[in-house]
Amino acid sequence: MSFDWMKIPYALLTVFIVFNYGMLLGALIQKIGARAGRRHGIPIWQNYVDLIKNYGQRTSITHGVMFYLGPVFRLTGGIGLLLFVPTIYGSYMFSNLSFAGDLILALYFVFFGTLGMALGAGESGHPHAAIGITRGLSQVSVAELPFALAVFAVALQYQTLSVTDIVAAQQGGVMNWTLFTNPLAVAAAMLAFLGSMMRPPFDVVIAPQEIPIGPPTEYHSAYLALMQTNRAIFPIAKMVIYMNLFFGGATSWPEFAVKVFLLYLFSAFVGVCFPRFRVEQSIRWFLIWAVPLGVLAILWV
Amino acid sequence: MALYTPDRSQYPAKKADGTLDIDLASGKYLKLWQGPNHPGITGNMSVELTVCGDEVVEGKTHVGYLHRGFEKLMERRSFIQCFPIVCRICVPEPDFNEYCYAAAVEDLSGIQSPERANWMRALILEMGRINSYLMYLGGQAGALGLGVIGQWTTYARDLMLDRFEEMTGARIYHMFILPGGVRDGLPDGFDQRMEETLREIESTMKDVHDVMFHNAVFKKRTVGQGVIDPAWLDQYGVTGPNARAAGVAKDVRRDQPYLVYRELEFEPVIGHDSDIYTRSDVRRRDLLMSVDLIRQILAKMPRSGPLIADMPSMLHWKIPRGETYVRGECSRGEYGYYLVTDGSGFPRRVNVRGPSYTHAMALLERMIVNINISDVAALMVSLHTYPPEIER
Amino acid sequence: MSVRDVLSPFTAWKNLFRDPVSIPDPLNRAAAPRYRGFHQNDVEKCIGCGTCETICQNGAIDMVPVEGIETKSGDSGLRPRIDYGRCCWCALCVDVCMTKSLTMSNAYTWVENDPDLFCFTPGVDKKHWDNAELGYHCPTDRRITGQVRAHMRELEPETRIDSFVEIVQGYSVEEAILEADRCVACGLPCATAITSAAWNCSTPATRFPASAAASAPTSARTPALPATKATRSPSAG
Ligand code: SF4
Ligand code: SF4
Repeated sequence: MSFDWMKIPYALLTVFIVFNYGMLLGALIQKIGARAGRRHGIPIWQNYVDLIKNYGQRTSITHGVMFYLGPVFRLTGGIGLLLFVPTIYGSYMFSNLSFAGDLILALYFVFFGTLGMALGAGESGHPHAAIGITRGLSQVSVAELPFALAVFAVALQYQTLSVTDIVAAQQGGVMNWTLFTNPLAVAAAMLAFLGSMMRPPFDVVIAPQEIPIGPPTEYHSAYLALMQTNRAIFPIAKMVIYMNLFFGGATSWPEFAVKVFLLYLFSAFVGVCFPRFRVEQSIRWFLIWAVPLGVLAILWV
Repeated sequence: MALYTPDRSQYPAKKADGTLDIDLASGKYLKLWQGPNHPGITGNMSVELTVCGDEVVEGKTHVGYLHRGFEKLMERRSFIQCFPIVCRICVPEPDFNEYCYAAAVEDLSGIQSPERANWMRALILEMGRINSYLMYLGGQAGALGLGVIGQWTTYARDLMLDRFEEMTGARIYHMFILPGGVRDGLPDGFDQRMEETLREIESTMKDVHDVMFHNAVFKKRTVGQGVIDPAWLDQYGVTGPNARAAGVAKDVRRDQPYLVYRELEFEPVIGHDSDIYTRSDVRRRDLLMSVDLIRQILAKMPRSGPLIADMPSMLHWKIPRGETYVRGECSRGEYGYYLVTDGSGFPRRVNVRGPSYTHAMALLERMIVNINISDVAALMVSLHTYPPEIER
Repeated sequence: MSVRDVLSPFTAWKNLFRDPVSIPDPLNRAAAPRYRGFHQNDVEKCIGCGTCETICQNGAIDMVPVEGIETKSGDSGLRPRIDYGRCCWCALCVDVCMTKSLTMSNAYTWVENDPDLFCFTPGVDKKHWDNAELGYHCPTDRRITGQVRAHMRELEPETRIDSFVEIVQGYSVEEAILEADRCVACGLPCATAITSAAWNCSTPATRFPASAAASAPTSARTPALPATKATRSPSAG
């Protein structure tokens, strides 16, 4: 397979678009959440202001190499994930660096950032960070479980590990979406989605009140800015995967925008209304509600 | 429960003197500070936790981050000069300090505050109680990640602060209950604006009820958690909603009516399960009762008459030798002022009995053992403590 | 856990299309008419008695000389300077002010880069709230320095018509202390004390509208004062 070098600038263009969309969408979702709280919410450009400010600041303490690499890993996870999934189906420009079997790689990338974070924040030596990481890893792992099951179900269903092929199989009408061809898998995956979006009820990992403030306390200045960048990209990248696997992908940017928005809104929709589970409660919840759905999804296929 | 087995064998043994034998070097235990600058702490205090895995084996309350020595400050200030100080002993509900201080001073100097002032005082105290509960509800939900409740109650509280502002001239530290009476009467049109505020609060409370109290996850986190054994109530001096949630109807407003409570109709709100959920619920219902009390007060209060008694010159005000203890039922329990005078122009001793003193020190330290560290914040908030009362 | 417990929380979203209630522009919100905001002082009316300085428990007030105001009989020539780094806006100074010249506006925002500027003399240093109408003013009929003059006992007309006993008796010790306590000991040869001209008060009593109220006879006085010796000489003037 010869590699088309032109794909690289195109992929970077994708990253750029997604980044800006992510920044605005993040603020928009915050504004919508604020409405539920009867507030006006932040100005839509607030994320940019924060980001520029944080990039302009430097730290004056030192922790060790891993600490500095943490945010870099995290961002790599986000961008890497995005780069290897086709963002817009059928578009040469925005299919990125996807290749056959990229599904497994994508799954790997989802986890990669969290691990990087764990190593990095762990190095700070702060006990709160250590607790946050333990909680984070245990919860993310168990939340990944139904997702992985759902992905297997989908892969089995379409007999391929290529995201592009999976999207291709869902074209030709809404009824071809995995959402309707394999609703159980989608249900399991959506529950996992809640778990990975760091919103209540599954945000005890970053819950400031319940001890671990985790990475956001440990990181500051430009490190925090790197993580904010990632927060703009990573959720979108993740949603791109969801969109591709379960909701028929997107054939154009507007379709992309709408689907990602709805997915994002879903997490906020639930998140605003509930408090959070403790770690062991959420683990149990995933094992009881989400994992069996995933198993059923595989059986269904 | 396979994932979460409380293995009692891990817990540190008790040493002969009753302290726990915690060997930090073993790596089995970890010391954690929750606070003083931590969102999961109520105000400026901190809890030193020793944890084993996710469970707390020991908790110690540390205060002093806010210590201004209010009581000592007052010993060097004339009686009127103490008046702006006392409100600082409890930020979210300062009025009880003002009332108790004023009542103690009046008691010792033989001054009778006028009837109308008493009604005004009761009104302020009930308004303050609502504020305090609103803040609590937001905090309790917020400690468990349900931020939206806090946003609603902050709005409702803000309306009440507006009423405070127009009535007393300040939003937080009202400094309104002067010894001898109150500073001013109600502004024009106050009743109507108050009624609108109360309606808004009631509708907010309805939403809170739907979203917070009928919430699967909230119930999961709070039902059966942080139970205060009714047997502890007397041992630890537990009062207020903490005691009422345990089924004991302690309420100074009814037990020893002060101001105008004799003329108001109310029944102390009680609960039975004594867990975090019940305590929140008792406070929610108590809040609604205060709404009702405000309506009663506004309907019955006299609209004319003196607001302040004839006072001697407060610049050189000397109060004869004596001592007294006055108390009132604040949103957290029994609030009391013990005042000793020696005939000079300064109080000889002022002692503030804030309910948080017992709740956040002795009681919390007892209850915090064996709970999950994630629950520490929720437990602490559910006792509704305000640290300045601990370290007056 | 019932189905209601799962579904009911979603009612939170009913607010989505309601108008938000947060204040869009919190910086320009007007305070309530009674708000205890920044101080105003009518320097023409103020006599520099320093009572406000005495009562301030934060030590926020200093009496400072002011250019253009001469020291003369009944006016110390000093004016209160308030340190907003210490003030807690309790308004005791307003309540105690002998001339009611000191008041509070309902302005509450003031931005300055130099912290020293927050030490200012109201009425002398021009501020944007100097002419504000609203704000906390002490009701004219309230004085915290003793509203009511201690009543001097009288004899029956038949007795006093041919005797000086009533005049010689005057006040009892307790009454005298009570009455003397109303003096704020400003040191000015003036009538901040709104009592009868018992000592050298050269300023005309018309300066004090409340003096009318003070002369109304009252016999019932509730506060019991200790029967100790007067520690302060009433003849401060
Ligand atoms: S308002 Fe209170 S603190 Fe401020 S200057 Fe006046 S007396 Fe002092
Ligand atoms: S008390 Fe009033 S009159 Fe006396 S100095 Fe202060 S402001 Fe001036």
